[in-house]
Amino acid sequence: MNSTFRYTNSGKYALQMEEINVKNKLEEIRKARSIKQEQLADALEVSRQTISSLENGRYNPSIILAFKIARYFNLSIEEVFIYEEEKKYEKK
Amino acid sequence: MKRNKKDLALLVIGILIFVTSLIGFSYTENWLLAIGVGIGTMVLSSAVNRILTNYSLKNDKELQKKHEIANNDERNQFIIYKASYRVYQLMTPILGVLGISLGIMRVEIWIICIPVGILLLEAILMVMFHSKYNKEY
Repeated sequence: MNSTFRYTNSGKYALQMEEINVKNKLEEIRKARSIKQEQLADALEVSRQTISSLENGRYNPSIILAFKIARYFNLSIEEVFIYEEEKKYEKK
Repeated sequence: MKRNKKDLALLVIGILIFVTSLIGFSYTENWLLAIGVGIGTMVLSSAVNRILTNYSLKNDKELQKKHEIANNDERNQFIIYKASYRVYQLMTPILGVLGISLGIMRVEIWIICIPVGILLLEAILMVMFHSKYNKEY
């Protein structure tokens, strides 16, 4: 989960906090295909901790890694990763 | 092979800087030579580190791959960038406080100029790299 602060200049300065969420079905897909985290990490040339962090949602992958993961499972990026933009609050 | 030659050259340069600076410093006690001892130590330790790492990975392909993955792993690189940025963020006020503290202690002006100079250098480098990356990306 990444938090970003955006400053807009519409009348008054407004502080807008958005939570950008990229959820993924990596664990679900990996387990369905009986692949171990180590195997997936080896195939993608990343560390096992990276796979673990991705599955727990603690880390969002780069677009290249996202493509590599999707290609490894013969799926599209959208089938593995779900992008959600949720406006939490707006303070004026 | 090329890498080994490079590391060996670095080792020889490190030893030369270290030994000549140390010998020179023991005779003249010139502070510039003390800096030379520091630089020599840095070069020497870096070369020894590289040589030992290459030697330990030489015959183990599995370990070589693991080492390569650990170095290129994007999460590891992200962590390194984030940690470096946090250190930079912390060092700026620390250097500021150090400069003010030295001023309050009424130490010589050239000593106060060291943290202030580092802060100035940081700011100049920040502008330089910002401009460089702004053109690149």
